[in-house]
Amino acid sequence: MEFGALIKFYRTQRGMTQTELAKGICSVPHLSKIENNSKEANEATVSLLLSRLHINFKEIEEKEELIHNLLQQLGEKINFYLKDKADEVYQKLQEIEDIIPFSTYIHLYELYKYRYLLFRGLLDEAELQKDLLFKQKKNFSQHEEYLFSYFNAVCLIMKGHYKAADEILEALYNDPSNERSNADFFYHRAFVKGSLEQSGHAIHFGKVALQLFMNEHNFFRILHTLMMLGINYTHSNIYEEAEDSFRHLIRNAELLNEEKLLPQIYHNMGFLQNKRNKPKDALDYYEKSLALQPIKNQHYLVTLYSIGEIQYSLNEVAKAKESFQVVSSLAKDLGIKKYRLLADFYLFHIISPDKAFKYLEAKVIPHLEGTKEHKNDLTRFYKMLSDFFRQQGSYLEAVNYLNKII
Amino acid sequence: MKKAIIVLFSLALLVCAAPVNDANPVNVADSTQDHPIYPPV
Repeated sequence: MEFGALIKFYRTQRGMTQTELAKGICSVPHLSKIENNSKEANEATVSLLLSRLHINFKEIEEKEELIHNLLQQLGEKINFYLKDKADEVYQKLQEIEDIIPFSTYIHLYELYKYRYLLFRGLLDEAELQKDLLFKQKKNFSQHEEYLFSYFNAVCLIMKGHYKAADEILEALYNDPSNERSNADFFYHRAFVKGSLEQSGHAIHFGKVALQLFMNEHNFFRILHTLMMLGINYTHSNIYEEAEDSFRHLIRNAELLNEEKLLPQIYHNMGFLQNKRNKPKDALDYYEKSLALQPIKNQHYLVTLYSIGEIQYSLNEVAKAKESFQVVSSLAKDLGIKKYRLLADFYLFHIISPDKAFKYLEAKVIPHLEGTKEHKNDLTRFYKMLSDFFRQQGSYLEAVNYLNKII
Repeated sequence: MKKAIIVLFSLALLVCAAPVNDANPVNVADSTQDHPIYPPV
């Protein structure tokens, strides 16, 4: 504990001068040196000064221990994905926030605050916290530096910047001085690899994470990892493993009454059936998923869009039109441009394919190319445009789009 | 140079492969997209 700074903090907070505080305990220059941490004060002097400020020396030492315990608990609750419990611990830390700057845990506290804000999805506040931490970076210990880089990678994942996140995680993984047996770390590695369409790597890291989560009986994260594995098995056409993962998940989520996760699992089961060329089964799962989603958020949007696509592929044009109209307006409300553009493309296509392809070229492609995160969508649309131009007899444009795929 | 050859070759292939009076529209729904929902970060 930095007692000098602590004494100065409480003295000024109580409106006392150095003379008033030092009277009968030590000289004013001595107090000044203590406050500036240029002189190591003996315990008796510190105790007398603190008692004049109505602060108990023992209490302060206990607080240092309390901060340490609470930080450990916060990290644990986040790792175990226990939102309410993490809120409770964070609240307790906030109650003693005044004293934390004088403890040895000042940087660790600010780092875990950053992680907590990310965990709660408060991205704007997390960005501000990141800026604050960046200024303190040169004073970090090796462990604190590791945490800062790792949490920055988590921040990038949440913003959808998977490539940059992958580079950070790769560097941390390759540095032998860093701790590497952390289950969360492997989970995030798998997450990034999956999002970058590197399913083989995602499966590898996902399996490591799953084993580590199982060792610590981390139940929520086991479910999350199984879901990620299911998605990546689907991407890699390992359908039986994917189906096993999803069935296992459905069983457990139903058992646990996991209302939030269940519709997501049904959605991904639909995604698997669609990949297996079973559109009707896929539609069943997507509809089951949609029925369990009371809030019209981004997940609802993705499920409804997937339903619209299948309805269109099954030639149920009227139903598809209805779905895409809802997607378009909901995407506008939620500010998710990609799905608004995609839904509008289909809505145009229902009326006039020519108009739709012009829209695809003028609006959808530039947006997808601009974000650099939609390789799958782009490949499909390049192919579509190439076919369109070929049929129009515009071979140069057709080749141009084919080359973009290469 | 290599790119130019690829372009010319692809062009030739396309011209040869193009059916005369192709009346079928491009099927936009023949391969629906992969849109999984990822678990929480």
